[in-house]
Amino acid sequence: MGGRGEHLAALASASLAPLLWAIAFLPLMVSGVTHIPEVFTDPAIMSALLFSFEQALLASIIAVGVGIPLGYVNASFDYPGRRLVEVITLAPFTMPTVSVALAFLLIVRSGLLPPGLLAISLANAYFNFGFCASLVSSSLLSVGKRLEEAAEVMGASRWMVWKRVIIPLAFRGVSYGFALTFTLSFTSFAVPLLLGGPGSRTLEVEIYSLYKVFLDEERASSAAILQLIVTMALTFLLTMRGVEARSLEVRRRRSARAGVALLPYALTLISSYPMAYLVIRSLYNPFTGEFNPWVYLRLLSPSYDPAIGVSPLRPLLNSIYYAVMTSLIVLTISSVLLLSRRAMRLASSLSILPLGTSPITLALGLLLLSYRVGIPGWVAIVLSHFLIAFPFSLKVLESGVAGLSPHLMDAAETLGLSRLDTIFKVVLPAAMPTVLSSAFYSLAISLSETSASTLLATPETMTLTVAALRYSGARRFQLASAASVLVMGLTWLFLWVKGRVESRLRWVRE
Amino acid sequence: MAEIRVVDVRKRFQGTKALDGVDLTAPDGMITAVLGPSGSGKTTLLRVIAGLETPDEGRVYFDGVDVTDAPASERGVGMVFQDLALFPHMTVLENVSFGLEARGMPRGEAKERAREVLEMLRLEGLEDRYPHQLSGGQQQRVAIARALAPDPRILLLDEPFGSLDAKLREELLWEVRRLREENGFTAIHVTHDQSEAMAIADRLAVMNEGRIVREGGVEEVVSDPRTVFVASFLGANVVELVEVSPGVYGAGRLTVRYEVGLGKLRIGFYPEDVGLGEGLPVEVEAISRWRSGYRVKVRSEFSREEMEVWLPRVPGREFEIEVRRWFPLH
Repeated sequence: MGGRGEHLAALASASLAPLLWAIAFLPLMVSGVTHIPEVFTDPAIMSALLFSFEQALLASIIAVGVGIPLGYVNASFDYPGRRLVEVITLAPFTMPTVSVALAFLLIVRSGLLPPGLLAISLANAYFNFGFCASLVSSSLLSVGKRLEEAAEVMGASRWMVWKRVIIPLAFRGVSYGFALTFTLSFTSFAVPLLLGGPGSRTLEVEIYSLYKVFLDEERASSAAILQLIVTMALTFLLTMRGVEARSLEVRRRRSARAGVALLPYALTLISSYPMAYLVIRSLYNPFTGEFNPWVYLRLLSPSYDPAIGVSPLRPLLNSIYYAVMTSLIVLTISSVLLLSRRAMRLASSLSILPLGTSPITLALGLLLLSYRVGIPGWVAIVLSHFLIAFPFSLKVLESGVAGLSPHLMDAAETLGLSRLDTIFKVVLPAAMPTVLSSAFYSLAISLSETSASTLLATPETMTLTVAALRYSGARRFQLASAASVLVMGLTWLFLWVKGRVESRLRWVRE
Repeated sequence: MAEIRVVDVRKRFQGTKALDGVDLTAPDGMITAVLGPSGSGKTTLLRVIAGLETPDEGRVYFDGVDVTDAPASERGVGMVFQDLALFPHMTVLENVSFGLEARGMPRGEAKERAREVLEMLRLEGLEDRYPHQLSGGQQQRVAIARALAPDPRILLLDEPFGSLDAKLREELLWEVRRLREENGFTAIHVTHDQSEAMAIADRLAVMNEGRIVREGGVEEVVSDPRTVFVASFLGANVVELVEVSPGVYGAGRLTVRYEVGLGKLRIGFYPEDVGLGEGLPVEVEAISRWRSGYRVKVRSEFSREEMEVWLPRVPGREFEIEVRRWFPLH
């Protein structure tokens, strides 16, 4: 239990993120709401909405279609290299969107894929199939051998065990994976921006170009309101699916020879192709036949580059600065939330909604707000990164704190500690690894954020992800690749540190 | 050493009465077990005594001094929590010396004293382990050591042994009694397990629906539970007798003498206080072997509930039992 003042502070922190969302959407409402009826008769917006649905549906079908067999094989067999397969197929899920988009753009340009619907859906499926597979396999693992055996003892045939026990339990993973892929694909921005053409624009791209290209604030706002409504509905469906229960029991895998794992091996190769291609392309120019590893040094150059309107060093410094600011905010809020479990629960139920909301819509709201109230551009970017990262960081925090006894504060108090000392000597140190891990997570999310930054950034406030997009727009693919490889590397570095911090959570592990 | 006195304490949580006028005295140097079903308010009572919950009404006295408004950190109690609440980021030694340092003892001295307490609880050699590296029983001992290290006047135990297997639990119950002999603290032990309560306590306080319904020495409460609730919670059987002649009540061939004159009398008796012979007619429901005899579940037309009796042998499906010791119930 916490004191009154701590409760108030914690409750205030819990409501900070939703409050900021509400404030960001206010200017959108003001300039867009009167034009809402026109949106439904606007052929460009309607066809963008339809295309968003089409590509998200196709991406989800592909991701789940590939994810189910992969997840099943991973959960059931112990074949050589299984851990590596799991790591590599899951890697795209943590890739910055700009890296995936650029990798697929380069593949399209090399003639391996036609641009448009198929390329966009494949890129979005590429993002998520590994995660779908891990959802399927963790559902299967959580079934455990015990339930299967119980069913068998009760006389169920092998088929009945599958039909009544295994599939229904795996279904939760499958349906969650489908809903998640659909939502993420529906709101993806960099992929359709780079891979789409005139006939294949998603609603995200439409909002972006209405505002940036046609300078039509009203139509952009009303399209954003439409997007908001659709994504809220999607998120609602997503949260109804519920999140996977953690498996306490590890299913014993049958050991198998490599033959069983043809599909996982193939998928691993396919997964690594775009990543590898991106890295190679950053070092090698196929048109000049030139191999140039020094391109990375050019990203550190402080001299002006007309392709992005600023020196290349600037976006790198900006990205790191925003990431640090974002994680500092997350760190502070997380620490305050620790004081009250009630506030933590409130925060998690309040911030579940923004999970699926489109970053472009958020960015547009913040942009309009910053014009009206005079917020500096970099503050708007940090705010958007914070709002995008916070729900994810909160999940990390929550699961970490769940491993701590709710009576730690009471125990410290009966041992004679004052409330303030209790917070600094017991609560914060005990939860510190979790808090740090959620801060590193937000560092990674901020660094790889592409969509909101693209809409919000000026040359001065540009991030590395936006620089990659701009270089690609200027047809300087080698620099673009180098920038996105750098983002990818830094993101993975932070995620690796997060993992290390978590594995040092000696006292929270079960 | 301290006497704990709780006077007319009331506490509501969002409209539900958790404590509904509790009076309790835990005499100096004794172990008082607060026994009751879950939701009866016993943990809330313990938290009020610890200072972790403020009562809506009523007072709490330690040795006659009103501590109702004193914060937990100033009451000088030791508490062992149900989930132990060991600090996960501290070693065993740091956990145990924590309370000493919190009360201003220099670090070196605190560590020294902590080592002594760890030795007392046979935990030597585990000083540098983290809680998650210990077995369940060891964690319990550390929690007790941490609570005892500052040499508290009062030790509060909130069902700390619930998660242990029977053998370990018994061992720790002995341990607490031994520590009490050595350190002479006053203890309140909250539990829903009547055998645990009887094993550890000098006094029993039985709670139901936010009130203490029976309080006294263990023998006193066990031999005269007074109400049907307390009797059945302590594992007694309850039967209803009718007055067959003035001052004499009977059920089947069981007769007892008692002065009430209301036409009816409810009595209770424990499973072990019966034998085969003339008396209450019963019908066997289930039999389980136990030591050299049997534990038998039986039904009787004179009792609403199924009863349990312990017998050296079972003569058939239907027979009579003689009740050797009984007590009247209200």
